[in-house]
Amino acid sequence: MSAPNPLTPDELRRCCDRASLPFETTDEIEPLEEAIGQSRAAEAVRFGIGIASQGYNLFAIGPAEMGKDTMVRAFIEERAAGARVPDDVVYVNDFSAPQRPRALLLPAGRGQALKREVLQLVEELRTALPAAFESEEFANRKQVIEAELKDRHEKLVVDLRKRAQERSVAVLRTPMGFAIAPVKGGEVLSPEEFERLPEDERKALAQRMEATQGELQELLEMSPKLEKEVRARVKALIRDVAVSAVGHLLEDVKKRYADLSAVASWLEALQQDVLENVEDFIKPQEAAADAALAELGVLGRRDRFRRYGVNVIVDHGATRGAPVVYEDHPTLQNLVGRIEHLSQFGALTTDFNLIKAGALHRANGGYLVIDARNLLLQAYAWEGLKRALRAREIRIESLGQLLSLASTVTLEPEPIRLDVKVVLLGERHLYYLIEQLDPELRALFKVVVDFEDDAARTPEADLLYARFVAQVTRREGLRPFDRSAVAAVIERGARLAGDAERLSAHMGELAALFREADYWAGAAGRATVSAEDVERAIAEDERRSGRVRDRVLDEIRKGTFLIDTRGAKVGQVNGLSVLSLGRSSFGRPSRITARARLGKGEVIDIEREVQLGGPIHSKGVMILAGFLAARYAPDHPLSLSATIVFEQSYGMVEGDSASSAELYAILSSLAELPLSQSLAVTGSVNQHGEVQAIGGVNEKIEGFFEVCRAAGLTGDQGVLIPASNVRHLMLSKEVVEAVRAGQFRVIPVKTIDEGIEILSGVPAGERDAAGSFPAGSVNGRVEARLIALAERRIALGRSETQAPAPGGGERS
Amino acid sequence: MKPAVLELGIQRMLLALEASAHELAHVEAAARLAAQAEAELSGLLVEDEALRRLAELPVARVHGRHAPAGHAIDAPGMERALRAFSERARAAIERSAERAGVRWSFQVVRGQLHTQVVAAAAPADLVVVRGGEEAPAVAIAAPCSVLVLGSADRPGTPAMVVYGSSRAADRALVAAARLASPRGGDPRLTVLVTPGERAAMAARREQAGIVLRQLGREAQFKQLSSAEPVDLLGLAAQRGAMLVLDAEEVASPEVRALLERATFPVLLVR
Repeated sequence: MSAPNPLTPDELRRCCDRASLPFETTDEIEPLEEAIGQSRAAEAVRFGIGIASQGYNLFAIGPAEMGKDTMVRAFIEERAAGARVPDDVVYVNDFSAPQRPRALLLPAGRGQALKREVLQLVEELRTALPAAFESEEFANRKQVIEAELKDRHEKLVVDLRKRAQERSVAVLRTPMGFAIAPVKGGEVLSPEEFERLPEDERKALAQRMEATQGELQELLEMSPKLEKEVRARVKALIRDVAVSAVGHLLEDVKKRYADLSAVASWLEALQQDVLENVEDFIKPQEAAADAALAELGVLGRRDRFRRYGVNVIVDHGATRGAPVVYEDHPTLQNLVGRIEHLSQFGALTTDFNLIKAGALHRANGGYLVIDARNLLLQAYAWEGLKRALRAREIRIESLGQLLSLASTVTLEPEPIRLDVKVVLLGERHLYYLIEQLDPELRALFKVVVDFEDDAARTPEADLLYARFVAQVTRREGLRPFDRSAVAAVIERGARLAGDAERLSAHMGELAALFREADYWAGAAGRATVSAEDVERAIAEDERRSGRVRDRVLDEIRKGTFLIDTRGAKVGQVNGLSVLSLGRSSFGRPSRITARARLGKGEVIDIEREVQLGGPIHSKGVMILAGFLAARYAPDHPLSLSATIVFEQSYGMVEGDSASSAELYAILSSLAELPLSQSLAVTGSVNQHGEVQAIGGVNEKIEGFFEVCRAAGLTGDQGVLIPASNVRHLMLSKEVVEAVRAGQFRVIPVKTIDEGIEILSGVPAGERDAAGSFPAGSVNGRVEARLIALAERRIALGRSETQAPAPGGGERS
Repeated sequence: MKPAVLELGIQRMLLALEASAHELAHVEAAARLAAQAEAELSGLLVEDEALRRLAELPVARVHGRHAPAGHAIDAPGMERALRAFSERARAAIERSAERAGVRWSFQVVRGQLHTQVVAAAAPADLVVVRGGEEAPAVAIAAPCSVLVLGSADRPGTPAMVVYGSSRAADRALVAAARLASPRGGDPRLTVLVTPGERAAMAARREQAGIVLRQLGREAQFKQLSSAEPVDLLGLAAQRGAMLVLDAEEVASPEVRALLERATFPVLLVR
């Protein structure tokens, strides 16, 4: 088997050919208007905002800072610009049921007009009605009614007294009402005179008094009816006077809204209410008290004219096209609206004037964009949004109502029909999590806009990148980027994608790089940004976020973390892992050791045993046992007990990228062959011994390179990587230059045999025609050791069978 | 015309009250009128002796608005009711007078209303009495001017004065002008010139104009085709006005009948 060759410098970093960029600076090129590599997402957005059916809301998924909102915004704003402006929404009092305010929809701009006109109308009524009712004419007419009825009553009294007089009975007024007394000669009888009356005369007198009492009773019973009649006639008079005084004012307003039947109907109800409550307009003392309370900021029931208010909760007077609303704080109340309260003398009061619009109201007829994570963080907001979309109406409910926490009387505003396209922006895992937990998601958000993380790195894509640079620099007033700077950006894009053949689509992260490069160009006094500035920006960013990385390297250099970069040792190999801390991630070498002895065929992962190993790492270790058994002990029991451990690791270990390193350590331990410590290893392995691709290859190589550089580069040092990771290499210029100078190596391996040969310097060995590995080869030595262990175990088992165990049991 | 004539010359407004349920409704209006006339308000509550007598009868019953079927009453009960009413009347007069800013007094007497009022009244008084059976008797016998309140009065509102050839005509005009307060552009005073010869009517109108100019007041003039009391009261009723007449008119049976069932206030000037 021929050993694989180390990679050439050109294979370690795919540089951008500056000559392929047809401009001097980005000022010469057209800015990019669309997102890079997002054709699938763009089609989904077009489809989603184009289809009008229910449930076709959009869920744009992808990592943060992908430019999701920028792209979605561009699409919907373009479409919204040509769309119809939706209606204004106002809430008004329902005079027959004040606790259920009525919602009115008016063409854009007419909501405020209605408010102004009704306000002015009420002001006019407050002037015109008192004037009408202070007039002599009204006073006279009212007086005539009251006098007429009093006359009728008085006449009845006079007539009654006359009839009583004819019966020798007097009807006298007393402080308690009328009294009936027998009279003689015009004078009330004294008790003595009454006693002296003969029995028959007294009886006759009693009958006459009784008759008068009956008539008096009838008269008194009639009084409330007469008073009721007075009230009814005065009320009718008030109505007549009010109609003649202000009817034309009301009619003028009604005429202007005759084309809007709901508004006209409400104005009719307002007119009826005004006529029913004219007294409210003619009570100057209370009006003064109201004004005083208003000055103190205390409003409520005492403000008698609040019920004629027009609460414009959505005003599209200045809106052009359909509204596009971004709700940054999507609480339930901010979405569906809320009802505010005023504290009035210690009690909370509310009315329709205190209804406030939510984002759904403002976006109705257009588009609402919400960050999904923000939405889910707010209690009941997701449920509230779903309820509105499902019912296709906006119903204002407070949390207190929803949870039945508040039992006080509150408002139930009339729901408003909802026609909105909602766009949620979120990360992928969030979408899949909701999809898994909430079956309604797919019914309400039928359009998934899945943003790509990266795009294929082609010459066309390179140019799109350049145009993206132009877009950001022009939009934000940054210095133009020269050709070298754009090339550096493209290379950075590939590095961010973790793939030399792809470019990152994380526009937000790139835009941040442009700004920082512009800063460093400014600091250097340059008019254009060059590659030097881009590289400075990258380096400074890494430096700012590299405190932990530097501490780790420092501790390795000082020998606190034991990493050998020279010599060879049995059962020990340098593994590589990636530490991610926020935005920063870096490679860190770890010493992996293995020990093997007679056992039951198990590979013990110490990390797993102490619950510091993740499931994928454990899976990788278990694969090793499968590999060892299948390759070396197909006909014998696998009779080893191997332990493997990440030395000086005190946190969780996850992933299977170290499984090849672990296997090398076990093989070294079994074969008792030392492994080179100047090399580090990464790659996962399958049960056939094939080395498989891993992630973070660039960080891992650079991590070991830094350690070697600190210890002194020897030329023997390097990293074994899976051959399938070669296309992902976008290594730093330092690593590339060290390789060019022969100071460092990156060696691609496809199999464990290739790797163990490089690490041990001993041929791996292949089975011959007889099925045996060559003696002295790595595999030969491993197999021999395993067979020896198996035989030893069999022998031990036999001796245990011959010597019965205490208790008479048999053990294997 | 001497300036003294231009004054109302009322020093005391004698408000006659009976001990009956709705009697206190006029106290407030009377107090305002007293303030307008710059007079003292003097309440005179006349308790009818017949009330005490009837309460001693075993068949005595009282029928009120809230107890139309009536309930028995005895002498102590009537006494308590009269005392309570007296206290309420006094309090009402005190309250209204202080609100109007006029001096006040209050006394309770026993007897018949017209007798007691006539006995208490002086020439410089204005007797205020509620319309009813007693009103004509008071109007006839009183030594001073008498204001008979109607069942729906608003003293101090528009006034209509009959300006004839009687000797009290000027006093009636002055009283009407003083008691009718103008509002806005409305003089709220109508001078009804009694019918007669054209020249005489013109002279009366001119004389009324002189008095009004001296008072600094404006008025509407209306030429009457008839000075019949019924027509006059009908006219006053239309405008809701107080009718101001020469007290001599009380001799007319029609006027007396209208005083018994007065709807609007009638001021009889002496």
